[in-house]
Amino acid sequence: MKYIFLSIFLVLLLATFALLSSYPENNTTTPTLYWVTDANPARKDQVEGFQEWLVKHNHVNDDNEPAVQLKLDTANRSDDKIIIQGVSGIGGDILDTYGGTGIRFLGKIGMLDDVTEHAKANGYDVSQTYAPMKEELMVNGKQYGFPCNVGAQIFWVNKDILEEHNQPIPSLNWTVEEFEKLGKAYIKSANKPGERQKNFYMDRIDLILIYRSMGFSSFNETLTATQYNDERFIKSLRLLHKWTYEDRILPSASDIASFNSQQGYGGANLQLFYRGNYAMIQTGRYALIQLRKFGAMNLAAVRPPYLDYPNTVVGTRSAVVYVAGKHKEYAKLFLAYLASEDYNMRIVKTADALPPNPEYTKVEEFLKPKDYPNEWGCHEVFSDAANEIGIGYVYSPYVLRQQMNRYEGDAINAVMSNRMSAEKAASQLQQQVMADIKHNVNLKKYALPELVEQYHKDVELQNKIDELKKQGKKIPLSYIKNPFYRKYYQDKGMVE
Amino acid sequence: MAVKGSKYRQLFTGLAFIGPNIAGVFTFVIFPVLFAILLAFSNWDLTKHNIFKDEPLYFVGLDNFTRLFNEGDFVRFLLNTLFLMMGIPFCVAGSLFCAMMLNKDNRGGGGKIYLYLTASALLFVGCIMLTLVGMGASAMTLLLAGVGGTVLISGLGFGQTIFRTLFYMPHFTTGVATYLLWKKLYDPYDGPINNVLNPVLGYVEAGVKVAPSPIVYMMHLALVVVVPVMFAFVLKRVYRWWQDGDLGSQGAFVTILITCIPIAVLVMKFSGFVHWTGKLEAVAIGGASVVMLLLFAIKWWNGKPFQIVEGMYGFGSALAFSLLMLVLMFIAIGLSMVVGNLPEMAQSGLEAPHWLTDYHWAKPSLMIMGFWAAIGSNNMLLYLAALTNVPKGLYEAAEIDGAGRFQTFWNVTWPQLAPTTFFIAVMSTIGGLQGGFEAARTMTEGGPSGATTTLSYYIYMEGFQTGRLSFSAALAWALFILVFTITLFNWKFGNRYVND
Repeated sequence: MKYIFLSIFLVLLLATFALLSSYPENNTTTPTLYWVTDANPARKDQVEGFQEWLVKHNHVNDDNEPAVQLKLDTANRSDDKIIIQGVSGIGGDILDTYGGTGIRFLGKIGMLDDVTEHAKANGYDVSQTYAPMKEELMVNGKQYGFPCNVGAQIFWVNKDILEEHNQPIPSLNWTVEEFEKLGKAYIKSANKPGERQKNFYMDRIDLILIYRSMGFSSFNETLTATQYNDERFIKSLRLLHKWTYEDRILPSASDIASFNSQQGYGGANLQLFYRGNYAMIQTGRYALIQLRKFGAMNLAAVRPPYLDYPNTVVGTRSAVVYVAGKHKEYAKLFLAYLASEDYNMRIVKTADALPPNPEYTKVEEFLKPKDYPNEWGCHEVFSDAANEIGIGYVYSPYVLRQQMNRYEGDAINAVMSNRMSAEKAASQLQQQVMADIKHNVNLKKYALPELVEQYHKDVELQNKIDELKKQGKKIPLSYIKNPFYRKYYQDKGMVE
Repeated sequence: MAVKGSKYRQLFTGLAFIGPNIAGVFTFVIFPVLFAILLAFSNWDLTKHNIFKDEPLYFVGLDNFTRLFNEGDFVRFLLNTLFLMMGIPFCVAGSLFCAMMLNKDNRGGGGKIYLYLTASALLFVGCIMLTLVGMGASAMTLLLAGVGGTVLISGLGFGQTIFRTLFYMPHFTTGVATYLLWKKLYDPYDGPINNVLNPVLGYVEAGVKVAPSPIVYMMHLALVVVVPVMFAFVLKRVYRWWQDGDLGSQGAFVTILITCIPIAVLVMKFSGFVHWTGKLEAVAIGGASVVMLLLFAIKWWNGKPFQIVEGMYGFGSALAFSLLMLVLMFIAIGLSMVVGNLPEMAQSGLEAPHWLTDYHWAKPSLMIMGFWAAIGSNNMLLYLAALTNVPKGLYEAAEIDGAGRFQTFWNVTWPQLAPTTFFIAVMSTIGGLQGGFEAARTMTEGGPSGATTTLSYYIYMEGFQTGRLSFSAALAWALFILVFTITLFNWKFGNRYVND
């Protein structure tokens, strides 16, 4: 028996060595960078681009080959894996994060390298990208990453399916009333009476788009409190419920669960959009990666409908540098590559959302891709929206965004499943988030003193803002920390 | 001398074998468990305390534990977990039933096997022909029915082995694969379950619409009456156990109290005393006290001698019995309410549940899936093994005494299986409290609206999504305390021995 065990032990030992020797860094003297990212088919091309860019910019070794090799790690992209590996000291060199949530959380942990100075010196500081990206990339004046791409939430329109049902293509800017009217007409035309509804006007509408279009933000101006009890938030919950269960413009959770579709990159919605089950989908320009594979379809793009204030949400998938990475200088070079023409033109060509640098949205290849005339007129809708009506997400230093997302998701689900009225869900949500904020700033001796101090200052500032609002006076822009209100008040002429 | 050398060698060999395992247990079990205690009483937060951050760590006493109860989520997710655990008695009963069925030799004899094989071949040929002529749906139904029949026939032909393998299959199938399969089965519109339910509900709807309302009302009342009948059955049992000295007074009171809850619900529903709403406990306790007094009075009136036993004697069995009856009584109440509302529901059209996407059905959906997985699990194997150990002489004695099937089971098999049932009950309870993570993560992500978030999933969310490790550790320890308390309770009051 002991010989069997010994043999097994030796076999396992050999297998371990075989595995170790198969690691890319063990087969070459060139340093290896690992990029923890999603399984987007465009990544391979982007990696090749980096190798070429390194040579072009003379980052080469003695053999005139790229000074570093970049490998994809798509198996460890989930947030929990990034965190666990990161705090264990074995994170990837370059990490993909989604917007300010990831950057703030990983930054708070201390996993991210401050790239502010390197970015200024190498041409990838925040001035090189869209204005709303500042909030997504910077925390307390420090820059932690650079966008791999930028996504403005726009509605893709399947023109073929609308024409098939003799329905008009919505105008670029449209109101919620128009959306509802056209949606109802489409549903009536696209579904046979007495049969189960399988065709919907839209796949989804984010709640944030509805309530922001009424001039409402979940946080107040100084980010010290949420205001979910506001009638505008409640109205947006009611509208979402109405569109899903009364007007049937949007699919319910059961409808979505019942669609039998393969989940390619970008999810099942793209296939359902192509097939005509959804006349429109809310997503970014990156939908084209998959849509182009399905075949030519006549497309249009329109902005989200609004009630009072046209706007859309702009987000990013940004690359950050792991602070304990072995080759941080090379990893930072990768961020410089993201700002380069080489990379931006690849994004333009592969349609992996908007290029990080808005300058490249003005080129002919972006506006009128030669091989895809069916997309002409769509691309600028995304870039214009990002520049004109795009606003980033709101992050408060006093509460974790992940926690808020969970509470918000629960509240929306509670309303959608008829478990709670919109008023009750909003009230519960308000209580939950405020309890978290109070907990975080009231933690006796072990709260972060600077956070508590900042909170009290911000609360004082908020009192001043409330007083000014009460008196009908304009508010100094410097008082406002909430990026939504900064833009909204500016657009409405409410700031000094 | 050679012997001494051999001893050391043996010791070394033994240590070499178990050393890695012991090291593993210390590193990955004992150390983390002890470390989690420290975490639970500290303010350890991943954003403040990790290899990159060195902020001071504070002892926060019971703050994390008090927060558990101040935040509604803990109680909500604990209730979710307990709700899912309500399926455990049925899973245990199902495992026992399967084990008893599989313990029988149902092999057919002689040339029957050829007959079965010919019938199966004919079935498949028939299905193919139906498909070829464009009747795919009929072919599918025939095929499904045929597969079921073939399984039964195979059992007759080849004996228990095939059934045992089939029943154990869910246990060795990868969890995630079965969860995905069940997700498809639960498809609200095109899933096989609703495809079967919808026509049935269609017939029910049509039947209810044409049925005179008094008939529906009578059915509703009949189901309502089932509840007091069940309660009477409980009383009869408790009274006999109490009379015979198998149950102490305190045990009898708790049993009656538990089964009084559904009666209290019924009384409050039908009495019209709306102002009683919210005073369920008072009604149940009052009712149970009255019933106990009545039982005392009956005992005194009958003049039968008391078998004086310790107050908590027999408490475990009686509790298990009362909990089972409680669930059955609530099922009867639920059914009666459904039948009572049928005419109204039929007017708007009866629709099959939307299962995983419906807040109220998501938990029962997971429970049903758990039932499917659990009846053919290790529990069934344990019962199979235990059944083979029941002395044949006891069955022969029971037969000579003229005991029927149920009496034989109740007085011979069930008591003989007591240690196995005890073990299964303890392990299932522990598993139930700790479980639900994989299913919630794979099938529902804890939704809709937190309906399927269990404590284990909550621990994961707090630990790895928000980084609040100390709070997560407190949650884990609260769960441990719960598991430990219930296990102690089981240990003290459960029937661990055959002669209990």
